[in-house]
Amino acid sequence: MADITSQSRSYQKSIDLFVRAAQVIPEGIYGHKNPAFLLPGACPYYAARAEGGHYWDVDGNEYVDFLCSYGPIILGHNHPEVEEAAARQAADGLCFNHPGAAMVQLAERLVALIPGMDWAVMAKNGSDVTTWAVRVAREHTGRALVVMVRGAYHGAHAWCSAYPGGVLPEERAGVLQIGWNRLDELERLVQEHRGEVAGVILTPYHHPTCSAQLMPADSFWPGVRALCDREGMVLILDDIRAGFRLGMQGSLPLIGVQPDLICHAKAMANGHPIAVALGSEALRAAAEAVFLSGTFWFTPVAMVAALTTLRILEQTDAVAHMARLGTRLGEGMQEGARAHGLRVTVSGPPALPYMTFDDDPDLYHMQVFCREMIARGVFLHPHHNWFICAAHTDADVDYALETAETAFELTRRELGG
Amino acid sequence: MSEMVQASIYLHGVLPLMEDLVEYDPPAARAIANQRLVIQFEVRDGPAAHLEILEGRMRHGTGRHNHPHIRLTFRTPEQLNRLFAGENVRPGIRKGFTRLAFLTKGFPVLSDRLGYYLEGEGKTQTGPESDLFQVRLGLRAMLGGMAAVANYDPSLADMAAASPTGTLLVRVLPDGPHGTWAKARQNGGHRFVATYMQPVAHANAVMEFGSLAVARRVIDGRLSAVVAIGTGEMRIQGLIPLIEKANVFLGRFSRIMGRR
Repeated sequence: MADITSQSRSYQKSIDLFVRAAQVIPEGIYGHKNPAFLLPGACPYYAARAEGGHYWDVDGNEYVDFLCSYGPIILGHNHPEVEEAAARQAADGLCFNHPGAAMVQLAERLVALIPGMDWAVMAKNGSDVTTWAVRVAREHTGRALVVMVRGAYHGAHAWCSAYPGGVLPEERAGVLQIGWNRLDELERLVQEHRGEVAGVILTPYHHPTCSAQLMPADSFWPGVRALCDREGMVLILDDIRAGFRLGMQGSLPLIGVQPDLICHAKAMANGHPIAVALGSEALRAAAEAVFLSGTFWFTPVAMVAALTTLRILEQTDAVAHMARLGTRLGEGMQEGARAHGLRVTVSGPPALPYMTFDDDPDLYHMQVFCREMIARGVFLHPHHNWFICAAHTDADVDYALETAETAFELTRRELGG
Repeated sequence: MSEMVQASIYLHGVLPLMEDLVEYDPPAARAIANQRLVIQFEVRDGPAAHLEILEGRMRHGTGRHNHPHIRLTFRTPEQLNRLFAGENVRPGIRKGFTRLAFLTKGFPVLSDRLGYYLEGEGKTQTGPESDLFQVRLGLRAMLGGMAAVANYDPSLADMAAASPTGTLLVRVLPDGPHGTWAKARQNGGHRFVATYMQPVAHANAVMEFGSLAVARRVIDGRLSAVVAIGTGEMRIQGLIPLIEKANVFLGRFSRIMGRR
């Protein structure tokens, strides 16, 4: 870790690239990787390479990577076994006239792995499969409306985007919203729109940006399942963010009920682009009726990477390791904050923690704290939950906690307790 | 874009600029010299604002004044918009027939002079005083326009409802103009308001221009705000969801003004 601490950090190459990018790319960097969502001027904008639990930006600065590319990196960057399998497949060809055998193998693997799921389809990004799952629910029920939670992220498509640009009112008209854990609101909406609600799409727990993560109340998921059964609605689990970080069955043990459709992406191929939707037998006919395709959705490299990633996750203690390190990080952060007269809350599952300052609803403390952590080589996002990967080590956590000592003190000095 | 949104922008984003205009521009200052007058502008079932002229100064206020000297009532927002666009429009004058001379002689001067600085040769003037004046106009129009769009654009009603309550402070460093755009709870609902050069007790989010020159370049469209944020010439901090929503309203306001 000495190398990280001794670095004198400049982000000039990042900034220079960004200025060039802004000439030829709308917003320079669009979407969730836009600097405005991070800490403009105080963090890197462009990455150069990565290895294990660390990455290097284009200016040569090294970081312990607690964002893991917003989730996809679960075994660690550039994992040798995954990359070797992917390279072998790539050597045979990247994109064919037909799917490869890996598609069948992966579907079989996932169906065997995840209880209650009888089929799987593949795409590239989370939005692809959440949008398709909603359409399957509509096809299956012959109903138009779908319920989601306010502030939940199900992708960038028009029906669920938080941003209004280019979105027709009609595209949003089919979506109703409830608060997280608000079974009463769901019951009221279903009552008001009796016979019109096709389904409910939920993340396993609530992981909005810029605020603490909320776990489900004991009665929430069973209540939603019961309501879906009673009213003939499809229950969709969007497990894209948490997914296999919580276990080989994804978030199913956490929610304790059986969804009708499940969406996975992010951490299933260790950075290779793939998303899947899985469904129960009852939904197969509807799935066959909703057209699904994409030029690159059948390419086998990511499927081979997914098969390898899942095998390694199953054969190693990766899931337990991530949970243990995440617990250490979270508990250490709380202790460190206390020692400096600050109060923080670490929320969410240990492998996907997020920290908030208790008396900081406007995020000023969080932004200063993360700025100081990033300046010392620990990449923590101020507005988005963090991710632990299997390549992180106790030494990484030790270094993060040592650095946090300084960052908490600087935060307190700058903004007060 | 609805006529009501445009009318609200005129009343809350453009009309306030008269305050700055009469301080800076001699012909505009002469047009209000020796006047003591309150002019009420109101759209039926829509936005209202007033201008108070006293001792060579002008003050803009939102909503209705208790004792206006002249009350101009526009039957429709479109009627007000046509007036601001320079067309010959006759609003209902419910009060102030004896003070109409100012409307026919003084007000057109103000309108012409504002047009000169917003769209005419005055817009290209440079120098410390011009930079400061243009930044004042731009900042004020931006904040008032964002509030107008947030309050009246039906296509952004969901966005307005979803926006967190709170105050966004926009300021020019080190000691330039500043103002706020805020969502406040009101009568069980919400209302967006803009302030200009008022004391700010607490800002939930802050957007800062690094210098007057940066602010001028951004306001003139010569420097993209995206680039300025990326390079650190502009700084944002605080409640990011509030800034994100503000950015949506600002974008819509800019597109509306660009289409005029």
